[in-house]
Amino acid sequence: MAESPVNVTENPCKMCLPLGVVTAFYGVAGAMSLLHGSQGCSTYIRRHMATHYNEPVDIASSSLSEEGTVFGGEANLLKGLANLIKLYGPKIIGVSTTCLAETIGEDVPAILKKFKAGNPGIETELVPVAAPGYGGSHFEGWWLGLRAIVGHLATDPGRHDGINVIMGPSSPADVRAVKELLEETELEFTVFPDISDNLDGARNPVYSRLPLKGTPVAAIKRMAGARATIELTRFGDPEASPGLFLEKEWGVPLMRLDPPAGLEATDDFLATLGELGGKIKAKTLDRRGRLMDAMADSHKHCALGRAAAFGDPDFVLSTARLCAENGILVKLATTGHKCRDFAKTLKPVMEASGAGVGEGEFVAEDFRDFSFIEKEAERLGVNLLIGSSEARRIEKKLGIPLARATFPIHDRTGGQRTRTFLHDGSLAFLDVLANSLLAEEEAVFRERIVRGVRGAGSRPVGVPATHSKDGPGEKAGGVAIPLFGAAGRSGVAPAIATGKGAHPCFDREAARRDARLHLPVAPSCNVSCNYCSRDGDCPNESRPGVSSAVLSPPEALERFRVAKNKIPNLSVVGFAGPGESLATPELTLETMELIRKEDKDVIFCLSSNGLALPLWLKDLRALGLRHLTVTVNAVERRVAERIYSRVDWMGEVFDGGTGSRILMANQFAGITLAKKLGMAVKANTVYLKGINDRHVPEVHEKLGRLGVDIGNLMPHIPVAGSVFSGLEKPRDVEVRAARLECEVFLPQMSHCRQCRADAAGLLGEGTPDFLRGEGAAGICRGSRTEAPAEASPRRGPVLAPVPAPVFPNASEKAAPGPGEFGMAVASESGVMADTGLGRAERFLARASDGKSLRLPENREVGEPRGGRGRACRSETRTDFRSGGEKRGRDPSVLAEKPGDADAVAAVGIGDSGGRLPGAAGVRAFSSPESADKAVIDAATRLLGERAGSARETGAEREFPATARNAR
Amino acid sequence: MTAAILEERKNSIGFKAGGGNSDGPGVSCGKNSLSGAVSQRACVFCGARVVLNPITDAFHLVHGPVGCASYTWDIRGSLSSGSELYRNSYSTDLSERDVIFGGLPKLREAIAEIHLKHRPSLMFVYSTCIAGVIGDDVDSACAEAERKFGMRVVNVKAPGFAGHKAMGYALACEAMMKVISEAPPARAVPGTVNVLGDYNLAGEAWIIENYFREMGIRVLATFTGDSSHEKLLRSTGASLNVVQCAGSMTRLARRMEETFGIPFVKASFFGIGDTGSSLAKTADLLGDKRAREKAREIREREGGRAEKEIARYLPKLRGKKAAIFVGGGFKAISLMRQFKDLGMETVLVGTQTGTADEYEVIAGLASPGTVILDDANPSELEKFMREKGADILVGGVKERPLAYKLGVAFCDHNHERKIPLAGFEGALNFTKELNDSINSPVWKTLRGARDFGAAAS
Repeated sequence: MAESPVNVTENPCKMCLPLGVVTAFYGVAGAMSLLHGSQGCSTYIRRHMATHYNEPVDIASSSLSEEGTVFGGEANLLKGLANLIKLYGPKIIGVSTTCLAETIGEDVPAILKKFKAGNPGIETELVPVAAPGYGGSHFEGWWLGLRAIVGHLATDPGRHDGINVIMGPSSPADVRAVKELLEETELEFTVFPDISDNLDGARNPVYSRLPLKGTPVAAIKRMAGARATIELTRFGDPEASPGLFLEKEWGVPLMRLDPPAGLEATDDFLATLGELGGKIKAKTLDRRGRLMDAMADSHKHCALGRAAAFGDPDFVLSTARLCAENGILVKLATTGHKCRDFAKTLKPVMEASGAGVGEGEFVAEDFRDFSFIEKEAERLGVNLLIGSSEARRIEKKLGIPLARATFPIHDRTGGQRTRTFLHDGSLAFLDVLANSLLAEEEAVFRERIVRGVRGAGSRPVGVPATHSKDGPGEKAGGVAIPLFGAAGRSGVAPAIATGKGAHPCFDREAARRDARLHLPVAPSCNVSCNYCSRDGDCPNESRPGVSSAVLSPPEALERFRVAKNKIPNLSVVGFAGPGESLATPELTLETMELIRKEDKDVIFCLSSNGLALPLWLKDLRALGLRHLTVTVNAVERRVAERIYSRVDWMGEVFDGGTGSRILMANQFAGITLAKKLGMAVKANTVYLKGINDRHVPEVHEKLGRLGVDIGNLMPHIPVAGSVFSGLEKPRDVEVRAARLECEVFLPQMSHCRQCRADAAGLLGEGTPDFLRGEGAAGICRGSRTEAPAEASPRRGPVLAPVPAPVFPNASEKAAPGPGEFGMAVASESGVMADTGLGRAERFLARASDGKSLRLPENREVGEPRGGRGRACRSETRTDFRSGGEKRGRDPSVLAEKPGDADAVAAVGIGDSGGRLPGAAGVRAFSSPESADKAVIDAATRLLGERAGSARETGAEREFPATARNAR
Repeated sequence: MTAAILEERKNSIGFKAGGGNSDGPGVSCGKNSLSGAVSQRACVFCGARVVLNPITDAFHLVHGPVGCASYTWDIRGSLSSGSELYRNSYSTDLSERDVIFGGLPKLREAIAEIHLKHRPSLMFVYSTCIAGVIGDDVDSACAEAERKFGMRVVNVKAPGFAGHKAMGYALACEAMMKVISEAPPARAVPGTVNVLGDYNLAGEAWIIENYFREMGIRVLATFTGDSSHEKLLRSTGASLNVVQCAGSMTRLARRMEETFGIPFVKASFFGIGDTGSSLAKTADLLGDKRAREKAREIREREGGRAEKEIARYLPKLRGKKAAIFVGGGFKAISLMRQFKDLGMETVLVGTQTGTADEYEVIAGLASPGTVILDDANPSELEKFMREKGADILVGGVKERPLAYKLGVAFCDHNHERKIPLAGFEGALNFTKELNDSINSPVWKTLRGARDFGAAAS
């Protein structure tokens, strides 16, 4: 017997003890139940049973109040009995305790005696049952109820020729079938309890609120004198076994048989009846023959099955036996009950259920809940669920068909008539199971063959064909991919199924559970946004831009492997910078392809400014991209042109005016196409005070019309080095208010954590240690310093940038020569001018005469902590949470460092006014270009200026001597 | 011979006298259920859970033996536009040992486990019957968890025996007050409302929200259908609370008025008339002329469309007799109005938790001879449906099999409905539902079936 390994039961696979007791009493003619406890117990059980059996279920309660709880419930119980008898006139009342009555220590037998003594005229039998809800489950309750009834009533030892057949929990239809079989054998019998009519009644002209059918009290009395008892259970507790009681107390021999489901168990039952003198009729054997014929007919279909059976232990055992006979592999057997010997009994049955070539792992566990079943079913590759309708959520979530049987069935009609017993019931059940498997097979086999055989080679390996097929909610590998926006309702975010991993940005719940990994593979950008200094605050998926390093596709794959190893809940791989993912689409697509080959389930998401979106969407979709984020800050040119200063489209550079128009047109076209392709689309909007703050609702109205699923308003974080560095940071309330306005048009994401471009883990978690250093093999072997513990998001010594390119023709001289300008390029990647001036930590030194380029050396600013060519940083840089005030670097420090330079080129130069602060005469140029181009451009500008000023003054303008000849 | 009515129940049963508006002191109500009478009511815990459960991203942890969690798992058909967390059932699943030695260690561990696994921001811990009896200090465990994990953990002390279901509603309202009291002070945002007492069954909250949106009125939060921790916190900025299920939420509305100064209005979105006037009333109270005009437009357009459709059903429904047995009085009143509009007669009306005020209104609306029942049981429902010749019963799933046994049609107006019955389209759906059951050929077939009476041997 296993103790619960966890402290919280999530989605219980059992009901409480009193439910079992009450159900047992429904099998006795003229019986009613009264639960001694709170009013709710009876009402819950009534609702639970009425929905399954489709019969009125009337259960009385003593409706204990606070007073009764404190001073004892005797008065309540006495009154309750009297009232119940007045209303229903029952022949017998089962008086069960509940959690409450047991805990406050009610002496029910004594109270019942008192009632009898006070009401001598009343002949109703009163049967007390101790049934604390915490004492077990409904399975135990069933047996306790039966034991109490037999113990109380079976008092007539007069010997007779009849046999007792004691049923375990079963469907009314199965009980009916057992009775019919017994009639065929011409044996004299008592089936106890007999719920076949009271819980599945025929229509009568007159309705009797008292259940009149069932085992008559007189027959129960005579059970003590029967010739034999057959008890149909394996796991019923012997302590509560009515059969064992009859044997011990009255000497009625007991035979315990498994519930008669499947051929073998039914044959055992039939044979036992034969041994007791029962006649085996031709029509009985006819039914048996038909089952055997059907078994042969469907065995190949059954061979497709990988089943999970769950419910009360007897049901699981008989289902497992039936499956095993027919070649359905039973991979998982679970019961919610504490059940000694469950695993020991089930395992051999399960292991024999296949065709004997080693079918891997079988799991049989008791005292488990549906969260366990869900997890294990998925892990074990189960393709058929067998049990109650409580598994309907798993059916939906994992896309595994559920064959409904046992109790309760709440989402189908006819739950009371499910059949699993005897030859004909087994056949009916077998048909259900085989057909569930067949339906699934028929639905997918064409596609599987097309994909697996014909399609091999024509598609990237590991990319399920379904990924390139449009339409939401499709399946890949038998698992429904959750898709935001599958069901829509204007203005309200539709429910997103949280199936196998969900996207944390699109699903708040997933945000707490599913981890994501951002892979920084995009080194450059094709749009210049005025609020952006890319190592500061590019809004593409929040605070991207910030990344320790740009990875090549193979490096990105390596990082994915490491992360996947360490983060079991990794469900999403995102591409969010530091540049624009689609400015270098080849890098992004190659990375996605590499990862897809290794993991077909991981969810991809991509952030983009939208400029190149229409060009690449179909390729992205073919690789399984389903979650897209587009940053849209404006939908009108007058606003947009204040935000974008430069747009690089199809090899041509446009200014803010024209560029904005191109950008917006492409954003709209891209979003429309993405929705057509069935993607979930999120729109980011940077809330820029005084720029687009009033325009934002219009943006989201437009986006709502385009079908965007969720909007994300992100407060602008002014970053040094950007044009908008001086812009006021919006206040929280302003943004919240704007969100409310936007929500009219578009559901708003409010749990955005503004992640780094290389973040990993749950939302809000930065880069974990194991991705920072040696853990990521071959990425950074330099010595590391630890991350400041309080820094959030965590920033620590990070991965080194890719090595600077080698220029074969560049001579390595220390300083610029005559006619040359010394240049420092703020570069993180070592390739691009990609860092804002204010926060640059690494500079490349270059020299240029305005035409050609020379590469003196890589010069770095700051303490180099790693090996050569590596710059592992340690300090905390801008903390976006405090709005960018906290600065890791003082620009004046920089002035000393690129001291050889006449000029500095950086991606943003902020409010420096074109001069490097604190360094007289050193010019600062803004350039988003490659380092080389930035240097040449800057040198050309300087040359031009020099020529200009020479013309003006007739003299060569003096440049600081240090700039040229210091070294 | 059995009785259909117990002596002690007689005061809870009234008959509308011929003529006059009300009938004496009215039915006795608001009392605990009578022992042994087979009440249709659930318990305090149930009342609290059904109200709070639709908060989609909250964790609902039932501290007690497993049954209470089992039976209330996903109990309402509330829909969510976001998290599906609320559709799970969590329990400390107390065993005999825990009852003897105390369930607190398990509760602490359970909260910690949930925190680690799901990181919720809001958790409700329901203390069921025995948690209090065995002396678990759930309050301290919750407070400790709040400190430790930085999430809101609210203890809902809901032992089943502490009153009846309506007491559970009150506890839920207090629990929500605890949550929203944490909201930062907010100024009333013009043109915003909260809808109280809509559980978004079959998307009904969305229907109402759509109307309001068209009127330019923003719904900040719905209590509690499709709500979330964040939406609840936001609710304090509303200019008005619109209370739909008065039985469960009037208390919260009162408390919000006291604490945040948000006025409230009772409204009903069942039936064309009620829906139209509720929209207009809301606009008036917000002082928004444009919205008022829009409300009229919507009433004419949507209500008109529904009325046109409903007209087709009227000849089939006119004169049919309806029995009502629902949870709250306000809903019963709305249903009576709807039946009147359809030309149907309400012959029986009962509620589980109606108040004296509501029963007065019910008596006022009822036609002579109508039976009025508080906290009825199956035998009373059976007796009066039979006596009054009801053609249809409107109720919950427990009552459904009884109606069918008696050959009475049925309409589910409870937690599990899957067809929206609110708003203008809901009024049409309701009409269709009634017609599908009342005029189903099944009844005719059954009644007209051949009689084999003597043939059976």
